[in-house]
Amino acid sequence: MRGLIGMMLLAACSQKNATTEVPDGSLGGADLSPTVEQIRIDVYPSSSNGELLKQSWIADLSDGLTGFDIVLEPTIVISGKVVGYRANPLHSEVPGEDRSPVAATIRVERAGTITGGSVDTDADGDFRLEVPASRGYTVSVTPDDGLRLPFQVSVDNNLSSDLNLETVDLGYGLPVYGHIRTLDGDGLHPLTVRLRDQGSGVAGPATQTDSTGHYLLRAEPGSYTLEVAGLQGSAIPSFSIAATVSEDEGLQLDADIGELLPALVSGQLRGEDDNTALRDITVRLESRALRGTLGTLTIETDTDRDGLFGRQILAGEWMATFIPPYDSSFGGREKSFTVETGLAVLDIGDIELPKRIIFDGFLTDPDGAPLANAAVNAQELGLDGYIFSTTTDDEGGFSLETSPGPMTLTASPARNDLAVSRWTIDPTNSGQIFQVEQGDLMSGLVQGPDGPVQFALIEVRSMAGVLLATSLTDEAGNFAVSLGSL
Amino acid sequence: MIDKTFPTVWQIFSFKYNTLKHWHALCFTWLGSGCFYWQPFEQVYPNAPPSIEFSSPDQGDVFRIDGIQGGVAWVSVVDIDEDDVMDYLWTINGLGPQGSAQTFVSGNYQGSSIQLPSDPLLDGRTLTCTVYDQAGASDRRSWAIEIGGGS
Repeated sequence: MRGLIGMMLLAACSQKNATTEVPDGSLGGADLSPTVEQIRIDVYPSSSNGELLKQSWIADLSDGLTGFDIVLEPTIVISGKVVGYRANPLHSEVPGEDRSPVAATIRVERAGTITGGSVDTDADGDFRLEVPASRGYTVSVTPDDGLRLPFQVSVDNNLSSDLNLETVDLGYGLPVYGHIRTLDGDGLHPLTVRLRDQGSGVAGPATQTDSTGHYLLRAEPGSYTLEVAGLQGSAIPSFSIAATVSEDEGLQLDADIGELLPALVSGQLRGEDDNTALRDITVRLESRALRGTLGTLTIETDTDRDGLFGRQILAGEWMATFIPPYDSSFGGREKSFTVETGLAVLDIGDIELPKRIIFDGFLTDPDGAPLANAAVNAQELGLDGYIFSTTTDDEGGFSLETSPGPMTLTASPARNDLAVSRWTIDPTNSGQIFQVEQGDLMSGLVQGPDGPVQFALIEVRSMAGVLLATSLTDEAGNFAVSLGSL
Repeated sequence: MIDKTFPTVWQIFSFKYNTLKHWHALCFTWLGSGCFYWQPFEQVYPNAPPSIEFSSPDQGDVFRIDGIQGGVAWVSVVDIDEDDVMDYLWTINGLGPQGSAQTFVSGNYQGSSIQLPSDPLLDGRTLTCTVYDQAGASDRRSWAIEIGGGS
């Protein structure tokens, strides 16, 4: 816990706990642990569940997969007023204007879960945020004005009932400043600069370098990462450097970004069948390794009516991804290329996009019997990860119009004794039979303060966020789904 | 006892039926396709349209997206026609069809969910989910998108 808001939360929670119930140890399931095999159950209550908010339940796999008793916590209100001093940036030790309301964003989030929320203050600096009661919350207050106000973060907060923080004073913080320049000493402008708290991963407010490449931020003492990025679309790479702000002292942090020698890259997108120019194709250019320059660079643009695109990028190894709209009759593709140092113009020529194809197949159960009414989702590997969905007919058959590239095929049987199954497929190889295996049954009961939670969406995810299965609770709040090997 | 001097109803019907039968035979032999032919009755089941039963957010509510994880909207659908295959189309006005939705089934229910990022580009737009069955009947639900919390 760190900063004024941390002390305020501690004081507020202690005061609450003196008169109200101590937070239940099961709020939100198990404690998040990087060393224990865990699974995340995200619950999205439906419109029939009143005021309950979305929230995650963490389960240890060692406790088994059946009989989960998931308790959705009631909604609580976090409120208060954010104030600050707007210290004069030229004299860090001299207070600026009197304490006044601050425009800021308040985030209350349980890291690695969907539990929590965020809200902006109003014109008077007041805020009111509704979140589920939970433990392990990270609470942050990020002012809009990063130049003159610090941000604050507090971790591991157990919030079990309404909490009025009254006045959240951001304080003065300490100055973090520096010069972002090229190898020749030229200041870079405009760049976006922000600090990210290393412990919690919370990002602070962004500010921009001035016309000479100088920046100024304010921060509480602590360990941060300084993140620097060019404006969207500009040929200036993004990079980050460690920044430690010590007690009672500001931090000067300059950065030499290297040599910036932009080169114009252009090309034209065409359809493979009739060679027509393709407009409105998203062209994403991502650096794999820049030469003579710090960091990474990603630039996106669209093709014009003639299928043409052109952007300035830097010397190095690149991957271009061409992404048609979701309802296009063409699939996407990738192309790697190199921009040599000193090259001013590079035409990567005509790029043909393949036509979408019909991919069909059959689902069967472990005995080879057709599997009707199963959900089938095919997701592109790479590109923009488009998902193409359908359900099987009464003969277990399905048909999808997809991109021709590699995909992940997921089958979710209606029968809960069969596993949600996955295959990596080549959709040009149509007519295959996919056999779904028996799975490990996962089941439980979802309850709220007023009883069973009916017809809520359940998403079972790995702790890395990968979706493993989707289900709905029934009239009695029960759910059951079978998982493949975890 | 049946009075055999007068024809019974069945005998009259049978006479007419036999007459019709001969007429039909004549039609098929000599008149080709220009005559009536009565096919056996076939029971017709009218298509029942799909109906969105539950959703999050509810119809007319705002779909508020904040936080690092983005937001999830979903619908569950009922269609009394057995084995009807549903197609779901998620669109955002001004941005067209969206490719991040997936279908799910759960017991007797099926539906679709979509995950959207906390992207200021989405703020103020309308998200619509339309479900179609194989006969083209449909139901839809729309929500105004609000991107909040300093995204």
